[in-house]
Amino acid sequence: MSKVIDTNKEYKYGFTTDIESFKAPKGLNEETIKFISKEKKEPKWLLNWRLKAYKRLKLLKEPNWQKPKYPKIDYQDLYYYSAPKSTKDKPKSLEDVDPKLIETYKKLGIPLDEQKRLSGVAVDAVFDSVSVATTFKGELTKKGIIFCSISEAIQNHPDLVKKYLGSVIPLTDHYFATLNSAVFTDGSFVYIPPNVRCPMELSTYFRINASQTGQFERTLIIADKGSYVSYLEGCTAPMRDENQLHAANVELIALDDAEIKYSTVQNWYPGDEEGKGGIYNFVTKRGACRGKNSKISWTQVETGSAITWKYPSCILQGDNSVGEFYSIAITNNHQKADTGTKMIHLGKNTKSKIISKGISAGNADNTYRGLVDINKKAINSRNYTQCDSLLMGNKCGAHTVPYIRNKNSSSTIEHEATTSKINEEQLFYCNQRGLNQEEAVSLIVNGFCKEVLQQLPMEFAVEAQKLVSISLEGSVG
Amino acid sequence: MELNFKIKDKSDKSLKLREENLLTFKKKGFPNKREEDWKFTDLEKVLKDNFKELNNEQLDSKKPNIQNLKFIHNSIILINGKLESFDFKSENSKDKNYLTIKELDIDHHLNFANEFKDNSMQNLNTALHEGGFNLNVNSDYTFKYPIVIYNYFTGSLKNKMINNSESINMSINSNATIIEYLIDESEGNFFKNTFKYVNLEENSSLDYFFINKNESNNFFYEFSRVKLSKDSNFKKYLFSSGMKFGKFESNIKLNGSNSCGEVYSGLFLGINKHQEIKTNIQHLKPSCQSHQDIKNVLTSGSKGVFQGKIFVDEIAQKTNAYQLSKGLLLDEDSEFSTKPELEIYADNVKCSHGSTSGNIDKEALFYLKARGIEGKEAVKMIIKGFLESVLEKIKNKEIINILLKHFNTHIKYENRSN
Repeated sequence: MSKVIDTNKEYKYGFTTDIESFKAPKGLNEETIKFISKEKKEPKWLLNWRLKAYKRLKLLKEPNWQKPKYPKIDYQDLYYYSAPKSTKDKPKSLEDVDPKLIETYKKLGIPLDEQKRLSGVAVDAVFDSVSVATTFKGELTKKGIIFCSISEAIQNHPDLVKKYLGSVIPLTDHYFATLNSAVFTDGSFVYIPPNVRCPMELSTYFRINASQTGQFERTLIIADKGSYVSYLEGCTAPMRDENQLHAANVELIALDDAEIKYSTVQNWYPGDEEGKGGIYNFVTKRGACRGKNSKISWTQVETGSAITWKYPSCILQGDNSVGEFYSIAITNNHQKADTGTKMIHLGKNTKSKIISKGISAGNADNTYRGLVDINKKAINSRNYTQCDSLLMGNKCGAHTVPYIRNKNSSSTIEHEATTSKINEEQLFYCNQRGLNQEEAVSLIVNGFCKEVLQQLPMEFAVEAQKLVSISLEGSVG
Repeated sequence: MELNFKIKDKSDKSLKLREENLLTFKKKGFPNKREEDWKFTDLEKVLKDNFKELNNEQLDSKKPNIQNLKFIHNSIILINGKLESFDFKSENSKDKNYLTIKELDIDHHLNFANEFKDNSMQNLNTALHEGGFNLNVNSDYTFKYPIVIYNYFTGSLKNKMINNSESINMSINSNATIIEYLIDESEGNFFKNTFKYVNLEENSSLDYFFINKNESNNFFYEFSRVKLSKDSNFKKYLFSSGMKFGKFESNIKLNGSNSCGEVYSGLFLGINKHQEIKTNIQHLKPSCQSHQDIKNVLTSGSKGVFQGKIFVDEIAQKTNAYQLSKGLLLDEDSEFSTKPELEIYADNVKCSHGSTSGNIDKEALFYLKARGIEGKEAVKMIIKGFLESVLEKIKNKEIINILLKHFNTHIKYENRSN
């Protein structure tokens, strides 16, 4: 098959906004950490916690087992804190917000003003590292739901933060998680009180703006007994030549009968066609099903970043708890993705399901790496895993590395994986009915991903479907 | 654990190399679970738990009780890893040059030894290497009868470490079936470390069976490197049930188009057995095929491991690769760990793997019970069916009979309330 389409759409969200940034001095040291802590008016215990993490960090080495290799990061050459200056005095309402910020959000399509009512999405927009405005707060407050930036939560709900922060991803976990614990700047905090069903999808748009600022987000979501929450995370980033590091930590905690649904659409700058630039997305996401009958479901659509390296995991501690992982990872040009999940079954009758779809085009490399570990005490547990990979072109790679351990006989594990290219007959069928090559591929790929796409909330599903097509443009050949 | 490893062969040619390798081994030590290839099998710990000392001193070999498989075959006898004798009378061939066989010397071993020098077991093998055989089947010869390698372990082998290697070359258009029959009647625990180098030239084929006869309390590590040329065909069957510890690695390079590599294994692992099968099938040329089918039945604190990798190079278009691993866990103490891995760089390929583990299907059990088959018998029937499914492709009836007998000896299913 010859190359039919050459046009490659430029990265749609590649722009930067000129806002004066307020930065901490460059470099990673105790002073920087103290500076961040002071700027954020944090209590003493948190500063100590950060310093403890930093002490631990000095003992750790950067991991090197993963498939995507990256140039060495000079941690002393990064800024660890940057906040748009105009938010130093917090705006009271939308009118007070810097108009340039509003403009940025408009370009991103974030429904901050009129649109917010129409779409019914409450947005906690993170511009660089400090939350600027939070919408729909009133409605959520009525139900007792806390949805704010983690810095606010540290000020206003210190007990909750102290109790749960670091309880799923401990200080000592691994290099990037520990780095995050030491220098995290902001992120979201959600607490759903017992027996409350969150009336709307909670959503945060992250945005990396200031150049050379690694973003260290920290998200903490707690669903108390019998509650339900669906959380969306979407990412776009401006065009940059330098590689930017993003090492976020996301912790989810589901107590008895609670359910958390966490959806991500990740569309950060992947670097240009030669693989120059792009974001390093080294994220630690982990959820603990602490309570009985609890459920955590991860859904992710990963199309951006030069290197994506993340494994949203579920620790199924409570009896009858359920963990789910639905993933689409699309890599094009020189992108590299090493992603998957860990399902650790500890409680009785726990269930997990993994559906992973990897699509690799251009010179890209796509790896599914996952662990299913059923412990001795996790009797009657079940796991089902399916990972399918699609290859487009003969310069890309698709890899599957599952680790499967079954330590008791009453549990069942099923795993299957396939790798193939797009079915010629399906292509021919579409071509015959007047679709051009690119439309046909888009249609087939969307079909291939359907099982995952249908897990996404409505607003996201539409965006994700478009993303899937855009990401593969120019890769048909 | 005390290690008393001494280089016995002081010949000028090899001494330096042996010393270097021994030094490298001493630096690295036995592999442990921190190494990715040994993640599920911590050899260092296994050896420490079972040996106070390991040495490579002179073996005190006894004459074995000669066993004879009851069908027409050719034979090679190895005692404690060394070539003792061979007998190709059954073949009765007019062609006198159809085969050469001799003791494998270090020169021959060195042709391959550098290939896997990252593996500390290879370092140790090169340093202490003693004996084995070198078999060459000449071109255009097809064996009428299988070759049985009687692999005896006799005498007191307490704390002994055996390092040997074997090399098999199949010349153009040759065909053979080899059965390695392991008979362990030794006393005291030993650890054997073997490297096998198999080369298949164009259009040749080799079926290699590994069958363990009786219960063995010993520790085996085996690494096979198999290289296939155009249109050649290699099948490996592994039946090592009964061994206390075994790790069998197969590194199969499909280095010619239209070549085909297959690995089959059916294991029943009883009390505290630990066995691992590791495969790395490399599709390096277009239109090659590979097939793997691994079945483990686990009971009484046993551990089964399967690490299987399919690698497809970017020029290896039209690859067809399949891998299946299944674990049947009969009780709470056993463990089945797998890592079925795909690494694919070509797009016009069909590669898939499946892996399952769990207990006996209750419905299947009910079906049998409903037909008047008693619980224990029904379970046994299911286990047998599960394991015997890997025999489907074997054509030789004599071999099938040996394997059925092998299963009868090793499937020891006790008690249960089913």
